[in-house]
Amino acid sequence: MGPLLKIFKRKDSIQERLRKIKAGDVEERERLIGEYIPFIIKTITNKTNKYIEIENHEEYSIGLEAFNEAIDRYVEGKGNFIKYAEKVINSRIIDYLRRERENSKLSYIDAEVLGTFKEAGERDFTRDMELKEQVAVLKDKLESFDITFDDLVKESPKHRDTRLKAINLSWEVSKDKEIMDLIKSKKTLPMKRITERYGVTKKFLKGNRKFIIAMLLIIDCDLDLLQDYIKGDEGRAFLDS
Amino acid sequence: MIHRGIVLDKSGDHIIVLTRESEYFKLKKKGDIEVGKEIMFLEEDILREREGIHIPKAIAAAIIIIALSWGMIYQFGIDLLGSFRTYAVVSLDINPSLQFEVNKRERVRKVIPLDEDANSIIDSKMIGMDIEEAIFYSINRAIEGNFITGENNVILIANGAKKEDFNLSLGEDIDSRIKENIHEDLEVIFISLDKEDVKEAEKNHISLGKYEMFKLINEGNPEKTLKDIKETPVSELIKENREYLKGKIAGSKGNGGRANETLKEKNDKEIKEETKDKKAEDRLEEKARKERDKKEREEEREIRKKEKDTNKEWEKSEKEKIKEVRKSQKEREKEKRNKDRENKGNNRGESKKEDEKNEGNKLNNRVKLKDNREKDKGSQTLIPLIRRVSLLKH
Repeated sequence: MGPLLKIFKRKDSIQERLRKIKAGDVEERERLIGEYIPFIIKTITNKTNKYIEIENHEEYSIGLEAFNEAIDRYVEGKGNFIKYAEKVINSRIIDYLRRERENSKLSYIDAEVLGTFKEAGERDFTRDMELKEQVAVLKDKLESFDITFDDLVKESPKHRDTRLKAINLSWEVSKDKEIMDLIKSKKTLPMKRITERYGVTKKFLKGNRKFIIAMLLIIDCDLDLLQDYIKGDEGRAFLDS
Repeated sequence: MIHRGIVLDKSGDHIIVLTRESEYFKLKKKGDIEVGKEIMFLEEDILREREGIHIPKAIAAAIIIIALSWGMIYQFGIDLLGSFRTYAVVSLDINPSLQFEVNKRERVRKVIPLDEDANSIIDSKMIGMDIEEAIFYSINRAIEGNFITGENNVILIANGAKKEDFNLSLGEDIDSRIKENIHEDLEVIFISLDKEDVKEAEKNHISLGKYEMFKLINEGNPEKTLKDIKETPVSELIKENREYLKGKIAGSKGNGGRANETLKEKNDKEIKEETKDKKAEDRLEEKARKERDKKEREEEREIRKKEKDTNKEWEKSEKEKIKEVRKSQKEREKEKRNKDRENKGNNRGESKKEDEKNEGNKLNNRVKLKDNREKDKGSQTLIPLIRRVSLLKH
């Protein structure tokens, strides 16, 4: 009976859901916000005209709060909720932008006088720098193989399973010193050896060669931050799937 | 659907990111962003190279179709550069009388039988052939069919322009070429006519060559009608009117001079001819036999070739069909993949949190992950403070 009811629940209109939230349904509030995060992000970026960074996402928090505020302040019958929420988000973001502009002016002076950086929350600057460096190293190494990031966009396996297969293969091959040396010296994959030792087809290697080389470089060149990125959390879940 | 990725590269109108799932995406450029930063982005920010692929493919397909049809049309000699039109006419009289209509490229676009026997010589293969080739072919057929014999061995080839002043490259040396390549006992008379004569000949339904003959013979012998000339084989005509023609052709226009020469030669050989005749006949018969054998072999080859060609065409059309099928398959796959991506979000949530019944409550899941991260790194959470209080209750 329960699950059936839940299906019916999902068909609630926004009005219904707002009513429930107003009545105190916290779960519903969370669900609603969760579903509208893409909308919130779109609204924010339309005003800020830049991507929201994961590490510095003040505008994101502001946007979420604004949406939450809209839920509280919305009165039924006074027009479309979504449009109202958009307005609230926009005004909060505009306020934020104005503050930022003023802050940056101030911090410029501060920097001169006090020699401090403007900080918007805690930031791991060393991590930032290192990651940037590692990306630069990757770009450079790829160049020696005549591969660009653009190539990787075009030629990486789009299909999930293929990608997994290629990544797992890369981890295996990375442990093989002989092959790794060959790759580094010849600047190409020793197809015969790899197909023989790891049981993949030549066609698979040919089709995914750039992706595999990039993966191997990330693994082999101690680009640990990148490695962590593709291994950690969601990445791990993906790999274990 | 929200994604995250590290910025790997940036250029004028796009940036490239790497996601946690090792996907490389090209995104719209939005303001300034530094390489190495991790950003949030939506499905709609991803630049996919879709339209760009379809259009070039369509153009390529169009070019291939045009090229193929051009090739086919050209093969059949009906090419678009006005070779639908007859530029010149060439007649061949032995006694089978036939006439070729030739296009700008000097290829046969039409063959007309001018008497009954001609039907046995004429062959659809002639269409599209180079005129000289067609002439050779016809002569060989005539030999096979015993139209050319020791006695009847004069061939009259006449040509005239129909359009403008088209000059056939068919040379006077066709005479020697025929002698060398087909049979030395053949006699060839080669005449050229001007446009008016061509028209006259057509009006009277007579071949160019015979018309010319008629003109010459008629002057001296008005009793001879067109019909007479039409029905008499060239060899006879020449024999009958040898003396007269000799004189006449000497004085006639253009290549008539050449015709004169041939007649002269004929005169000289006259004495030898009687004795030669028999030998010639034998040789011609032998040649006819050889030709017939050769022909059979050639026919077999043609049949095999035709099979190959139809196979090729069939293959081509099959390949095109396959391309289309693959195209629609790819499109279906793309749709499927997009649908998969949308579903993925829901699935991931559920598979990770089996012990919690959250009905795809992404918020909770993310918070849980973030909590773990927090302990390790002490960075900000995705959800503002106000939320954390309420969520801690769960």
